[in-house]
Amino acid sequence: MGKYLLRRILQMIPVVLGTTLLIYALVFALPGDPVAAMFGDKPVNQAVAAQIRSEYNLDKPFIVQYVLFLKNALTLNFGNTFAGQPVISVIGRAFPVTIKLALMAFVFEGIFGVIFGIIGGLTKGKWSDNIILVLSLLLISVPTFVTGFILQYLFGVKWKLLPATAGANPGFIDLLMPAIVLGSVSMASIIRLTRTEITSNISEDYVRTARAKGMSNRSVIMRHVLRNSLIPVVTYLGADIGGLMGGAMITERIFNIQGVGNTLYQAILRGEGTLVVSIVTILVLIFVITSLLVDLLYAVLDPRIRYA
Amino acid sequence: MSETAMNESSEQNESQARVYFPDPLPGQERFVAPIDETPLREVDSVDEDVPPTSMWADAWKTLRRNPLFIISAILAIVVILVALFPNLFAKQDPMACNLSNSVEPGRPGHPFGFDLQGCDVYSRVIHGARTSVAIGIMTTILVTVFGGLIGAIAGFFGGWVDAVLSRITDIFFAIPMILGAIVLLQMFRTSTSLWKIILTLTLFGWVNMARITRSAVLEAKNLEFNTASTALGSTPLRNLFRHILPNSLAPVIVMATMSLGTYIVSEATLSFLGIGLPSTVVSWGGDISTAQTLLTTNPSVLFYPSAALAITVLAFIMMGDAVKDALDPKSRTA
Amino acid sequence: MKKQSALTIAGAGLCVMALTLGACGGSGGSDSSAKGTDSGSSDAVISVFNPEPANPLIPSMTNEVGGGNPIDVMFSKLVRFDDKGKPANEIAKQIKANEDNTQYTVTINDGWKFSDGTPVTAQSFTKAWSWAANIANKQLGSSFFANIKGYDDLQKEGTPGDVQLSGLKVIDDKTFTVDLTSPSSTFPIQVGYTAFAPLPESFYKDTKAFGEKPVTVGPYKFQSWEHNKAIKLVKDPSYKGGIKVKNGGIEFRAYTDATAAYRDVQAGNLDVLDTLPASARKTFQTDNTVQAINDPGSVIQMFTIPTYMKHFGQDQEGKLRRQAISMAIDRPTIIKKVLSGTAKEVHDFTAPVIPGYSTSIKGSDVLKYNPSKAKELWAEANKISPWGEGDTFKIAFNADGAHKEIYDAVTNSIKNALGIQAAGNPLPTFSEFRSNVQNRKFTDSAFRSGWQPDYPSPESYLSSNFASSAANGNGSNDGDYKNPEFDGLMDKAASAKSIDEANKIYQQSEEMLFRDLPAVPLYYQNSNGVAAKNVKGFSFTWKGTPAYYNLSK
Repeated sequence: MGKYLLRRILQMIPVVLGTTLLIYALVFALPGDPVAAMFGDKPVNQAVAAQIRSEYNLDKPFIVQYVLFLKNALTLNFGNTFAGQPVISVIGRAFPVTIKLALMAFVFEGIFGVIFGIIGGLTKGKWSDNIILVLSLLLISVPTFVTGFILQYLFGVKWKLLPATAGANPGFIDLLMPAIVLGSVSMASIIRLTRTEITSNISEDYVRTARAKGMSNRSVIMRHVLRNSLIPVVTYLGADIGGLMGGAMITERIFNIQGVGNTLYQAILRGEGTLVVSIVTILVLIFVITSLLVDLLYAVLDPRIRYA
Repeated sequence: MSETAMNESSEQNESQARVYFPDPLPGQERFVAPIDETPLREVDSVDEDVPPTSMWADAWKTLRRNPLFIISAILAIVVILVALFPNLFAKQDPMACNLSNSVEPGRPGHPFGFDLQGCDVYSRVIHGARTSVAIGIMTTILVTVFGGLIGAIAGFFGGWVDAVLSRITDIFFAIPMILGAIVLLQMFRTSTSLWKIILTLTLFGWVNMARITRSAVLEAKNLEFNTASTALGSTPLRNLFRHILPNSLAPVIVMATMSLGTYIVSEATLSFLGIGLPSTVVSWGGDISTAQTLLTTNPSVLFYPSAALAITVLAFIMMGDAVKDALDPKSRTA
Repeated sequence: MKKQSALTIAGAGLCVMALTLGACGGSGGSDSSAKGTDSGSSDAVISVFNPEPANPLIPSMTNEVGGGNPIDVMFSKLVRFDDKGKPANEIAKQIKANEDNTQYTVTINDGWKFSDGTPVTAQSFTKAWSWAANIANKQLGSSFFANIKGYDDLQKEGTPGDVQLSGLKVIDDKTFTVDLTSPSSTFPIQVGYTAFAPLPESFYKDTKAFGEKPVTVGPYKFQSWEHNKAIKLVKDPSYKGGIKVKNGGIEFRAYTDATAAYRDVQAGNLDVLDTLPASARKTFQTDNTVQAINDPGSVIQMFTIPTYMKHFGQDQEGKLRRQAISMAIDRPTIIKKVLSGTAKEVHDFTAPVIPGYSTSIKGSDVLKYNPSKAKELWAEANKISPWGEGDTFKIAFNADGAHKEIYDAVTNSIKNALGIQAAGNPLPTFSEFRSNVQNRKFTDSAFRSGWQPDYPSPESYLSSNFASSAANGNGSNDGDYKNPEFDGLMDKAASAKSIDEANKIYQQSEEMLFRDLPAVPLYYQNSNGVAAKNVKGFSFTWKGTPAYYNLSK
């Protein structure tokens, strides 16, 4: 087990290198000249532009830029944004609120997704199952920006039940609506996945055996069916936590949350290589760690899966 | 052939059992009733000249009798027909827009009314089907094949193969789709825009499928039938394709049919972010994204393409459910 | 000189290049019209919509509204503009020109102090301008000083950062002279731009710290800047200028999307929003949860048909096609249906709030919707060189702004009237859009161009956009329109004796533009926005920014 963990942790090194290289290449390939765009619609003062390019190493070949970034990153110097702020402090401001938002969305989609999925799976074909089907259908087929705008208008403006936007220092209540909007799409997938797994596991031999042994329906489901049904669900949830953090661009924009998604989106539009790479690198680390946790959870959920 | 069928056949099928259970040697006890004690019933007889029915044939048999499948299949066929031959369903040119009709309500000949630009909403919904369904189906196929294969290989072989593939998956997970989309859009400026969208969605969609498949394969790999099959001399690769993959299909099918809808919606999101299809291509996603500004004033413009999208998603999800049930003998509720 | 851009937010608002000091007019405005039961408190803090500044809070580094709005009310300059755009002396006591307008002598008023207590002297200006012009300091606004002698010497790489402009001479503590490379009658107005603000000595010790926490000299002083949250300013009691501040401070709240801000105004969480989101166009004036303003503004929206575009050169064919395109656009319907009345019908190349604006310039009937005439002209052009069967007339725009609806409507109108293919040509980012414009890549596509003037004169609209001297990357004439006759009129107007005389010459030059149509005017964008019900004194300056100092509640 310890060896396995060590191996997985060592694997993070090539992953981080690969990601940074790939992202750097993508940002490099972005059309347009970020420095010229800083001048807006004005004619570009080429002399100043050249100075700015050299300040951000944008005048150097791609691979040199990348190596310089790596070299500085090793000393935890991630450079400055075009706005002249240290990248590290931009990240420091963006992540806390996004982590809060992502965790809330995660808990929301996890709990309600699994509960609805179980209900659907156990009452397969009945009205409750069908209602849940329609619900998940709605969640899938209405884009986030529409759900977000509708909820924001109804709850925030019309009925004034929740804050319309998250505000500067968002707390639980401020983030409630964004979290629900953010989590709702994945929730649909979780509902369907859980339902599927439940319906297929409930007719397994071991369930019959357990029932035959006189186990109560409740403990059959909790102890056996659920535990065996959760592997794909946990996989999905695990993969989703990173997605919730990086993919909240639209939700964060609607509710004016100055988090990772918003920062990343703006940085991409401006072509700010170092900022994009730094944020994505952190996201990759989160993905790698959650995928490790998920793999470890497999072993807990299914004792037959063992890691050497 | 699934594992239940195999176990049963060894016990009940005397002609096969004979191979494994020859006459007892002296001192051995018989643990299966001799054939003359429990005569074969008619139903248990096996016609050895007929090839064994395949999993798919079995599934088809079940499906034909499943009303859920029939309804959803009809819906899906209608959607696909509309996508293939939109002119049969709408006479109006979806690109013929006249501002004087802007956000006019429905009237004879224009049942759904007009959008902001004064285009006929009904005919845009009909003509948008082709693009949106193409995006949904093509992306789903590509993602399922590509992501499924990678996930299956990773889960099945484990070890360094798994490590390499899973870490590549991690990397792709973290790339923001919008960044990739902007770059791809610019790299393939000359090609058809529809394929650029499909390519982008595939490039960022396969990872989810890969992870789900990997986990399902990991789970199926450890089930008894796999051990049994190996004991019977089956090669690992044959195991993977004959036994493990079919048994891991359930979550994959569910994910695939679910994603079909999300891909169509993703196109709307790309349009919302300004990197979707150009105005010259009619699509549900594009129309949903443009109608978004009319949300509080003219919600019907937003409603119709969304409803078309919802119906399509419903059809495919229900069909996916039915197919999954049919393929999985355990969840048959007969 | 700046065009309006839209890197930010939906709503096609008054975006990136708001450099001028529009937000410093006299008091008055529409305050009297706002009545409430309780009288406005003079120390209330008003929260306003603001994009996060793209640069440090240094005047010469700021070229977008996010930084420009707070900087404008924190830094007084030699002159200020009132709500109507009329210049008046602020820190300057006198700005005196020599005979041929090549040298100015500036005297400043006594008693002005920076917020750190140090006095404002002649050096506060000369050093600040030299610093900004010096290439070593990498200022985006450096070219504002291009007309001052010695500017070219500061553009050589390797120049030390503290070398001064040779054209600036300090006579005494309160007096300095400015030598210009070429005559300019607008110099006394130019010095009202943000980039010309004075800076205290402490600035040069640590410019970085200053950018985060500026030492100011204006109606408001800096209190705090929490990045991506808010910039807080408080009324500066020691302010000596002519603005009467009616509130206790302004909180510039950071928003990335105007729709979110609109919802906040509706919900009562935000006081003022000056950028109308597209989703509110149809409703904001009837929305009884907010108070709305929809007044004529100074922004004109056009699209440039570059002279290097196929079929649209500066020849007979190009001329015919340009006129045909212009007549094929049904502007009134677009304004009514797509823009819901948030714009005014276009009649010239300036804007309704600008002196010299005219609705009756000869040739302006090319702006009238006339599909049959348009078809005729197009057919005539086809006789010179046929328009291909598969050719499409495209108009490029940046898709990260809210332009799609408008250009869809414009191209639909062209398509319907001329019977040719026409489509919008969206580019994903502003940066890509601008690179294509700057590198003259749009050889088969027209492109959007909006214009927000620096000061209220037709000159700011006409010579920056269409003079030959601004072509080929030297200015904002991105379509490379060249017409010696037009250039001659520009020079003639610059040396005119009176403003009225100059404006007549400008109108004459516009006749030429209507013949050649280097850009096709679409509409005048209104200054519009919303404020919470309890806010008083909500009004816009000529430039389209709220008159911040008039707000109270």
